[in-house]
Amino acid sequence: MRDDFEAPQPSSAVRGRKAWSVEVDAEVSAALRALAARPWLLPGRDDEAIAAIRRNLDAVRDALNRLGWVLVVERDLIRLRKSSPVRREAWAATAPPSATCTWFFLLVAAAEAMAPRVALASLVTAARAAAAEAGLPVMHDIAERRAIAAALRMLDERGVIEQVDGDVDGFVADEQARVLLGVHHTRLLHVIANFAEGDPADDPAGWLARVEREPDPARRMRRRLVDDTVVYAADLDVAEADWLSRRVRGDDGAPLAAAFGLHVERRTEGAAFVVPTDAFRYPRELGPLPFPTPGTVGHAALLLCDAAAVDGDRDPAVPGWRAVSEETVISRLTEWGQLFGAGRGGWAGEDVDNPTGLAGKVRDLLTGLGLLRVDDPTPDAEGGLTARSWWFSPALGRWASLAAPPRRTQPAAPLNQTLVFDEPISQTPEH
Amino acid sequence: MTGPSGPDAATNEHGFRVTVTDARRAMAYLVAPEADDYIAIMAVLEASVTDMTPAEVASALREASTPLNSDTVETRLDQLRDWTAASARTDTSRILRYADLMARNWRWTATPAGRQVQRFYTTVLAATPTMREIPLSSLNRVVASLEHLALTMPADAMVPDAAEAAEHIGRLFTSHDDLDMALVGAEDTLATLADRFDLDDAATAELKQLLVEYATRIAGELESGSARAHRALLALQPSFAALADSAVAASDARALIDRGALTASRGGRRSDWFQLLAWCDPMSGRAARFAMRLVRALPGMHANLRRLHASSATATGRARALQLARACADPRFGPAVFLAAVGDHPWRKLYGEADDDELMRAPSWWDGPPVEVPDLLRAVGRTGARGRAGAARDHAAARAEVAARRAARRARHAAAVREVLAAAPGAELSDGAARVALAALLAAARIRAAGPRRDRRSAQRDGLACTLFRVPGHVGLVRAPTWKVWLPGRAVVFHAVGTRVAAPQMTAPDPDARAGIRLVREDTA
Repeated sequence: MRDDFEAPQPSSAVRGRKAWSVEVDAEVSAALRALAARPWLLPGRDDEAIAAIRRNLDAVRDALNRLGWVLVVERDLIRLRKSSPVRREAWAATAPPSATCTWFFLLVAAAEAMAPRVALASLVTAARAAAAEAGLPVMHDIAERRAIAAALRMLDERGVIEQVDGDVDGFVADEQARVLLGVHHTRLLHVIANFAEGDPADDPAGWLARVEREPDPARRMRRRLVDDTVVYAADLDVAEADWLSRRVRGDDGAPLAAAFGLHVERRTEGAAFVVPTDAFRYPRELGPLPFPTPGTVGHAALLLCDAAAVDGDRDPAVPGWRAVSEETVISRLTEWGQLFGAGRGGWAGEDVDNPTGLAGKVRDLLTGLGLLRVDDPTPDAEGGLTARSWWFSPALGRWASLAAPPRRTQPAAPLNQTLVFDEPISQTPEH
Repeated sequence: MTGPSGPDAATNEHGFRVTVTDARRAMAYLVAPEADDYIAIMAVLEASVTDMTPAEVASALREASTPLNSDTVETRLDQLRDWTAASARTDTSRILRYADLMARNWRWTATPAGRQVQRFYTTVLAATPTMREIPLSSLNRVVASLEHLALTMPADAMVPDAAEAAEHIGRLFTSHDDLDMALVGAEDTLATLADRFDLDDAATAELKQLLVEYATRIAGELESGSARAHRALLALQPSFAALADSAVAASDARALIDRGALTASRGGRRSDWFQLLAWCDPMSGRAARFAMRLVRALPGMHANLRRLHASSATATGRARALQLARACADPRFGPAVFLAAVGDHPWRKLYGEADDDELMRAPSWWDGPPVEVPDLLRAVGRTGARGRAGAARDHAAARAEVAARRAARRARHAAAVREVLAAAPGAELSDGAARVALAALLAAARIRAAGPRRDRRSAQRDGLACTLFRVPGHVGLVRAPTWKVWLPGRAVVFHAVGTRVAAPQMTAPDPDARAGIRLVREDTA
C-alpha cells in the first residue's frame, strides 16, 4: 500500500493563509521533537511548547497522524498518545519496577472516585481497596510504601495527581504524612493510551502482541525510525525492507523526517533518523539515553565502540557487526580505569573499582540505544560454555575515530600497528 | 451522649448513660443500644393523633411488624420520658377506684421535642435525600408580592393597608420557604453528583439531565427573579420595621406574640427581611451560589461522559486500570505492559548529522561520511571545563613581603632624614642620606625666589625640607661618599618639614630663575 505523505504545510496555509512565517517549519519541528521527548505537556512547565503546538496544531497533527499517534489537546493539557515501544525489551529494561507500575494503575483506579483535593492517606486507602478488588496482596511494608511513593511521583510528572502541599517522600516513613494531592480527573482519562481485547493479567504476552500489532508495514517503519535510534535492514521483513529500500529517502521517510527536523541517515546496513546537532540544546531532548555523552559510562562506551571498530571479530552472517568477548571488554575497562584514574579529572571511583559493574552500565546504555547486542553463552565442544560476546553495531562507524579502521579509500593498517585489543585482525576490513 | 455517670445520669440496662441535661437528651434514643425499639415506639407515638396506652402502642407495633411485649414497651416508654422524648398523662377516664390512682393508668404521647427529633430522623437521616422539584411558581409569588409591596409602600414608610400587606407578607415568606427548601435539596443533589467522577451510565445521565435540561433553566429563572426581588427589597429596606410590625399586627396571635408566648411567623421580625435581602443578593445570594455549583459541576459531567464514551460499559477506565495493575505484577512482562498501555515513553535518538546529502548510493556506515565527536569527549570523556571555578590565588604572602619592604624602606628613609638633620653643614653624609638630601635640594632649587623675601627658596620632599639662601661668595656643599654637590653663591640648610630656619646674616635677593647646581663625582673631582 502506497501511503503518500506530503510535507506538512504551515498551519496558516491549511487554514487559509492568514499569515506565514519562514520560521513556521522550524517551530513545528521543534514542537514535534518536544512531544517525542516528553509526551505530557503541562501549563506552567511547558508553556512555550504548548503555545508552539497550539499555533501549529494542524501541521503537528498531520505529522503525528502519519504515525498513528493521537494528540490530545485539552484546555490545560497536551498529551501525545504513542504506540507501544518499538523494541519492547530495550524500553522495558529501563522502565520502573513491576511494583511501581502496579501501584501506578491502582492509584489511577482509586483516583477516579476521589474529590479534586484529597489527602494522600485517603488516596492510598482507596488504592489498597482497589488492590483488594483486583486480588493483589497488600503488605503495608516499607517496600510497598516506596513503590507507592514512586508511582505518585510518576503521576505527578504527568500532571495527573499533583502534589499540592507536603512531600510525598515523607509517606515512605509515615503513612499518615500530611500531604495534599490534587486529582485531575480529565487528565486521568488519558493515562491509558493503548488497550487490547482480553485480560492482560491472564495472558500478558498475547495481550502485548495484540497491542503492538500494526498491520501497515509503512506505519511500522515510520514509527521505528521516529521512535528509535537505528533500524537495521537485517531485522526487517520483506515488506519493511521494501519500504526501507524505496521510500526512506523518497516520498515517505524524508518528508516525515523533515517534519520532525531530523536528518535521514541511510546506509547499507539500515537507516536512522538522527537529530541534527543544532536542533537540540540539552541531551535530555534526545531521550533518556543520549550518546555520545560525557561521564564515565559514556566515555567508557565510546572507547569500547572505538576499540570494537578496530579490533572486533566479524561474522559474514551479520555483516557490519563487530564482536568482542565479554572478558576482553572487562579487561579493557579495567585497564582504562587505571589509566584515567579515579576521582577528580578521571573516572568515577566506584566504576574504576568495579569494572564488571561498569561493563553492565555500558551494556545497558548501548543495548538501550540499539548499538549493542549481547549473545548468551552457548555450549562448546568440550561441554563448557562459550564466552559471552558483545556485538557492536555497524552504526558505530558513523562516529569518526582516530583509532577506527581506515576507510575503504585508504590503505589498510599494517599488521604490526599497535591495536587496542590483543587479538589480531584481518588486513582488509569487512563491510 | 455517653460519659461518666453522674448524679443526673440516666442509665439503662445496657449501661448506656446520657449525661447531658439540656434539650439534647431528646435525641438520645436515636443512638441508644435499643434504638430500633425506641424509634419504632416514637414512630407510633408521632403518628398517633391521640395519646396511647402501652397496650395500644404494643398493638400498633405488632401491626408495624415490630413486635414488643407490653412490659418492654412500658420500660422503653419510661426511658423515653426520662430522655424528654415522650410524656405521660394519667388517664382519668380509667380511674374508677382509689386503687386506680396508684396504678399506672398512663397514656403516652411524644413531646414536641420528641416529635421534631423523630421527624428529623425520618425525613433527613433515615430517608435517602431526593431532589425536590424547584417550585418556580413560588419564585413568581415571591417576586410578585415584593413588587406589590414596593409599589404600594408610600414614602413615609407607613403601611397603608395593613391587612393587604400582611397577606402579601405571609404569601411572600411561605413561598420563599418552599423555594429555599427545594433549592437546597437540588443544590445538594447537584453537588453530590458533581463531586463524583466515577458515575455509571445512569448516574451520569442523571447529572447531565440535571445540568443541561433542568438546572440551567432553573438557574436562569432564579437569576432574573432574584434580581427583581432584590431591587424590590432595596426599595422596601427603609420600611422593614413597619412591614414586620404590620405582619405581627395582622396576626390572630398578636397578644401572645406581644407577651412572648409565641414567636411571630417569618416576616414578623426585621431580621427576617434582612435575611431575605441577603438571599436575593445577585452576587452572593442563594441563586448565585446555585449557578456557581452548576458551573462547577460541568467538568465532572464531562469527565464522566468522556470516560464512559472512551470505553464500553463492561470495560471502564477503572476496570482497565485494575486489569493492568494485575498484569504489571508479572515480573517478566509487567514493565512492558505498563509501557505499552501508557504509551508515553520518550524517544531515543542519536545526534549529529553526517555530510551525506550528495551520496549517489547508500554506503556502509563504516565507509560513509562520519560524524565528528569532540576530541575532548573521546580523549577524557568531557565536553569542556567542568566544575566550579577555582578560588582566587592567595597573595597574602606577597602582600606581606611588599609591606615589609615598604616598612624597611620607610625606616631607612626616616633614618636618612634624621641623619641629614643631625649632620653639620658640609659634613659627609651616608649614601642614602645624601640621596634624600639631594632630592630635597633639587626640589628647592626648582622653586622660584619670589615674594617679600627673595633671598631664599624653600621646598620639602619626602619629609625633609630644604631652604637655599642667596649668600654672595658662599659655596653650599652636600657631600656623599662618592659625589658632591656644589651650589655657588648659596647656603644650604636642611630642616624638618613645617619649621622655619633663620637666614644667614649676609643674604641678597636671588636673581636666578633656578638655582645653579654642580654635581661632582668623587673620582672626577
